[in-house]
Amino acid sequence: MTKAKEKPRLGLYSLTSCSGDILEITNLEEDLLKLLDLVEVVDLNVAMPATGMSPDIALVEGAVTQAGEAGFLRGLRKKVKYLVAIGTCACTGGVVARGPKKRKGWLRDVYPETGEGFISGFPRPVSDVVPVDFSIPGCPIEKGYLMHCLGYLLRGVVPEVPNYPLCMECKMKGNECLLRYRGLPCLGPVTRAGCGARQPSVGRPCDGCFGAYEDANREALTEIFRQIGLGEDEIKKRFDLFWERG
Amino acid sequence: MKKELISRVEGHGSIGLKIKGSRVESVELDILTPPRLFEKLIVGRHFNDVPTIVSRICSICSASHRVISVMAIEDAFGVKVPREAVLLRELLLHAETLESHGLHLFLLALPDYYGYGSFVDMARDLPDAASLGFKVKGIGNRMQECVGGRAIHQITPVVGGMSAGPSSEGLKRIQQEAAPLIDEVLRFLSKEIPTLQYTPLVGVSNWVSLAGRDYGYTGGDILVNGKEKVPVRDFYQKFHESALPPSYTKHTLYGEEPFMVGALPRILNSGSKLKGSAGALLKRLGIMKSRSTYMNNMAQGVEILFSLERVVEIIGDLLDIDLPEGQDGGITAEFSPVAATGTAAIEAPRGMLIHTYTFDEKGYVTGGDITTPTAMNLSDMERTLMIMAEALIKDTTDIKPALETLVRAYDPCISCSVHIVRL
Ligand code: SF4
Ligand code: SF4
Repeated sequence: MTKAKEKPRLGLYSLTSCSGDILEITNLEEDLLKLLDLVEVVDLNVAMPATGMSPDIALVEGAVTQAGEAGFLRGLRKKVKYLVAIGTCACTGGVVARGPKKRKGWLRDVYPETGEGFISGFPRPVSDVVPVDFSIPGCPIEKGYLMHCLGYLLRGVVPEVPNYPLCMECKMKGNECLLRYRGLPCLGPVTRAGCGARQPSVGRPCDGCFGAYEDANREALTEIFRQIGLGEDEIKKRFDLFWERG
Repeated sequence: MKKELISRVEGHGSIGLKIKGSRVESVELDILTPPRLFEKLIVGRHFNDVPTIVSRICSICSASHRVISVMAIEDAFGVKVPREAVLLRELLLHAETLESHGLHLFLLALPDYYGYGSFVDMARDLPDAASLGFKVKGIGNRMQECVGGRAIHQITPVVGGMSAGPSSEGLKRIQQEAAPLIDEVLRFLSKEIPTLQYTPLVGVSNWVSLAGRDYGYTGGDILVNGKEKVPVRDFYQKFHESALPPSYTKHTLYGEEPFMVGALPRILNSGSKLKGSAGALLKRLGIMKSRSTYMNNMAQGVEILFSLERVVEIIGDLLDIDLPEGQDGGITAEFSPVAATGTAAIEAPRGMLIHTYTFDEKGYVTGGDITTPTAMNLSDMERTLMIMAEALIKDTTDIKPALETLVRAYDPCISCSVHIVRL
């Protein structure tokens, strides 16, 4: 084991989120202990008090909704070598980034006593506020994928992300195609691979939480959705569940 | 104003205390986890997407949110769910309880009991405590993967039943792992655990949980203080919500009074139904008599045993049935959407959780309400923090650790920073 002060320092930060991506890191279990051998965790709000040291690598989960969060990110950016957005909320705003124009009214409805007293903006991805070195999508992130990426970053190399559709992984699993044979509106053909086709493997069409891969052909899939009987509004709602902000 | 972090709880929040001389003027717990407006996000959505959206409210409780969301929709449409699917969902809820209680009791709360700053420090001297925590949490996670398709934001519970059955291999492995763990947990928790010096100071005044026929996490009416029954549908008549700035979480009151939900209230209402090693540990700990808020942690220990025992039992039942596995087939009932309102309640690890939705005739949401256990506990946390601060302020200058420990005893989904304002 190397001496503690020689280890690269890792910080884990949570913005507006469900904390799922950091929870997924604690789910690494035995691998977590291996990771702790390699890095020193200097900040992890959920499980230990902050040490006050700045990290070399910062993993940030959650969307930006507060001025304070944006300020925190700007400060963090100056201190760290790699700033990594983890989870779909940090990458795109996530499942909560919906209804930008309706938000004020929603706040008034949900909190009638205080109305707009809350300062809470439309959920933005981390990259809207500061440059991000790397993004790890997923709602939540996949542990194996994260470890793979950290392996690269610890060696000073920015990893590549899979740039092909989920269908590739789904096929490799030997699944029956839900879109073709069961007429279910699966987003696999346009969604970035990386989750190992979790949903199709247990009989549910992909909801697209990894976002689009480059060159994804949305028009072609839209046409297939029409053929399996989806209306225009249903098609729009399929795409804007996770896949794009709406 | 001093701002310090309380770690080892989820989310963001702060405790504000106003102290004048040796008098505590006010206590305010602000949950600053920003509003994510889930009740609004689901309006206009198809019922199939609702569980997917609302499970993102909380990662630790995602299985509870997904299952209760599906159940509230089924309540609206009048769906009768196949028995196998009901058992699989129950298994999933036990899995979540193991994951959540394992993390909270062993890794977040026990360091308080033993006087360590974090589980990392505790693990150096007491490797058993930490490793048992990882074991309990680990089996919960693997069960959620096996039954739910993922440890966080589970996939399989769908309106009507389950989209797929678990592999029987996976179930057998869990059963084999769970059985010896029961003894290990019982042995550890029966040992002398240093109890907190302030334990006698704060007690539960009102306690609320669902209480069905058995000690379980679903079914039955809402039971208040072991006596008054409130049908789940009447929740909104008896319980009231409000949000006051700058807290983003709504406070819920029973009539005009604070109340507590969670493991301790469940034990107080239904503990007498516990048998086996859970029942044995409960007797030993004397939780029913002490009624101390701090006992919520030990109540979680009792529930870890209850869940492990139930898991072994349910898997035994399931293995006798020939379940469809993986992609090969779901276990679902036929139904069609109707214009109606549905409400359902569940015992999430942190306490009672209620979802209500209204649908149009095509199954699109027109309105919804979600009341979480942390919102229900907020007022009671403020009540006990006040008592605690007043009791300690006279002879201690640093009351922060005691207050942090008290907040953690509730196992809230928030992490807190303490601002203490001395006037
Ligand atoms: S991306 Fe998903 S898992 Fe991660 S914080 Fe957002 S909602 Fe939670
Ligand atoms: S089920 Fe979905 S991900 Fe799998 S092959 Fe079909 S379209 Fe692609």
